[in-house]
Amino acid sequence: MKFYDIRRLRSETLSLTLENGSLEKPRFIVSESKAFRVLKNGFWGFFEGNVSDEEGLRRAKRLAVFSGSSDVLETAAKGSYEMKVKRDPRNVTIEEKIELLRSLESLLEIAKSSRIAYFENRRVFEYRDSCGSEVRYEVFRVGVSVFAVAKGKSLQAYSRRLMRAGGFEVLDGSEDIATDVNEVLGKLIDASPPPSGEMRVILDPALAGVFVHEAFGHAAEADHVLQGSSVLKGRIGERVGCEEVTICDDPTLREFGFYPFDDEGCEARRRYLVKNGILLGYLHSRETAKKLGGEPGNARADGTSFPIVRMSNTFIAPGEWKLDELLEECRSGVYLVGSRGGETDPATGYFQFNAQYGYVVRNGELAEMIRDVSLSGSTLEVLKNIKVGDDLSFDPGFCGKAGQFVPVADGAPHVLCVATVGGA
Amino acid sequence: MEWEVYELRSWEISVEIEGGRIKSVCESSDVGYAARVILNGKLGFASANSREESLELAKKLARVSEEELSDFPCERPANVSGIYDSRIGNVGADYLREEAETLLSSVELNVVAAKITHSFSEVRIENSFGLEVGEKSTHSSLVVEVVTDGGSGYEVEESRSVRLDVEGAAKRAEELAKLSAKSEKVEPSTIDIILSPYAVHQLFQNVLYPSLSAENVLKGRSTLKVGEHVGNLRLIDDSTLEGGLFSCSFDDEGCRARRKVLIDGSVVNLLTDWKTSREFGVTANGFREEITQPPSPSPSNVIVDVPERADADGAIYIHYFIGAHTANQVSGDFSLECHNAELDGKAVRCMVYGNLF
Repeated sequence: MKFYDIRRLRSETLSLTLENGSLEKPRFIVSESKAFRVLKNGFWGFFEGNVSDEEGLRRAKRLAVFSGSSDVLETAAKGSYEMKVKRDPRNVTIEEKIELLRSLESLLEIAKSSRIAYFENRRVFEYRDSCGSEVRYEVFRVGVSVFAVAKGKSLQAYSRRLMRAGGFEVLDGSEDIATDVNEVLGKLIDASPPPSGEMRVILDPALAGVFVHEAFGHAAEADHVLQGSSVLKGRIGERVGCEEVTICDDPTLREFGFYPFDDEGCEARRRYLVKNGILLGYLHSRETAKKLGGEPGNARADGTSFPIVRMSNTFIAPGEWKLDELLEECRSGVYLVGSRGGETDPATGYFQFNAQYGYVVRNGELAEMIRDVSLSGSTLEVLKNIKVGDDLSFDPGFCGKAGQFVPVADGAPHVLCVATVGGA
Repeated sequence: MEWEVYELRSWEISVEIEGGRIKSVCESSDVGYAARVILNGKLGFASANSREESLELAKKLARVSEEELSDFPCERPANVSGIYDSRIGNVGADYLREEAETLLSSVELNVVAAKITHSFSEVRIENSFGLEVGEKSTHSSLVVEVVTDGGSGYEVEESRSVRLDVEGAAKRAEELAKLSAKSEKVEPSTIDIILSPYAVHQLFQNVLYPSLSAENVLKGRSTLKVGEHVGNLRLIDDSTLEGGLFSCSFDDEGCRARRKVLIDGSVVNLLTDWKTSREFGVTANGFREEITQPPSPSPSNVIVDVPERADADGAIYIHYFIGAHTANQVSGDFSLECHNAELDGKAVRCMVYGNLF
């Protein structure tokens, strides 16, 4: 046996949802699970189940019966981390949590229908492996999401969320997102469909964050590179964007994608993927780091699934442009805000995502509001000619890959680029 | 106090292919419990690794809940066949190797990623109204992605049987990859589109089915209601189909599986779970996305029947959409990039937008 590792995870989640003012579907989810990996003759055997360590390793070994070309970087880490929070969510009464949801709901004057959800999660993770690693950590995540529907010229929905690693204090200021939902929705119901075609586009930090995550970040995941399905394959040291572009992934920031150690027991570190337009490296697991040369630390798992290369908090570093300068530079085009999700084909670099809403930009100023706007283009074409603002902020979400979902945050300042805009 | 316990025993084995080579064999085995408790007419939910803990936690939440429910269903299950393949007992590492080798030898291009999974599950539901039902089922699936210079092709295959058409799926993915490598951009225009069954499902799943959920209709999150004219379309939800991917003898609350017409030109029935069945009738569509989620109305096997036959000439045929989940569930507006699309036998790249309703 070349390598083995054992993970043990306890996860406790409370979720409370106010549906049109009534507390519905409150949920407690408690799970304990274990997973075992064995690498033998370049082949992985993996077993997931609540059994003793000896039994788990034996069953994983029984599956590692073929030979292959897998290999791992054998580094050891030892350490433990306990997140210090101002208010441990377990010590806040359910009644206080419900009260917070009610206060947010009272701000949604325009809503015909609303859903306000609270969630908290405590993740206790233990790891050991054949290299001698021994890692343990405890992390809290807390968040709220505000979703509302209203009717004007058309029926429209709009949502915002505030989620971060930390205690109940994460929700300080959550009134701002409810107020924003109310104000935006009030205008969105009478907004017009967008213009279409290739044009200059300003993306707000939330949408630019989705762009860097979806369109660039996935292509920088080294498993995609090894599979031959990344536009960034073989391009380290090459220019992939203009001088203004610096892109990082940093799990040590206390955003939603925070973790102190990854799911292969490796210590979390900030990674520069692009510095001043030059591709510096990829995101790695133990296996891809061994094969391509690099440092591990970005292997993550949904629960105790098989860890794969993932992002954490991925962002475009701030540049020098002020928002009004970007608007002036844009002259005519669109300003797009927020994201309703997106998808990309890392093999070709084509991306598509939808904004929550936007504005037409005319003579360097914001004009009428537009709805149901989508954006598509080619990642590397966009990065070649992009202007980066000075106002970085993060937006949380869950990223799906190979059927596994993990918490991430996407960050960016406002950016100006050229892309294809479409709408209904 | 009234109660319900949903118990799920599951076992799964899968093989993964990466970069043209068999990479790993994974197995998982799990037992999970989800409990719902009604206290003073209010409902609480919890899931945990033990029956006792899930009941205890659900009771705690029922005390603060405002969700009303008076009882749980107690019906005799339907007789549905073809959802359990006893050959699952023979599936092990060697069986998976054979399938993986067949897949790899079926195509010339690079299989960047593929996964073949075989799973078994056994559901048991008990409640304080005397319900005690159980069912075993199996499910097998294959996803394969093939890449060539500048193009990629993706294919999916699913079955209740442990026998999958591995070779056929791999060859189809290869054809799509070869075709997409030569794709050209389509100029903006208004044009007929033909959706593959998979693309229809992607669009309907994200827009139409949520709008037919009784829960969404009651909460003002749907533009549809019973009697609303939809178009020349017949839509049937049938959880009793022999061998159907979503067939079952009872839904996740224990209601007997049924066949029901949802749309026949106009909306005839909404999808209901036990709670919304009081207002809209029982359709036995209370399903759980996973054991950690309480049941809510969602479709089972959907049969789409359009009586009119269209002319395929000059229309774009779309195999898959990228980002179908970004379609606006409430308004029906969508704007989606196509993955593997053809126009007059040539591969094209395009984005389509419109409104489903």
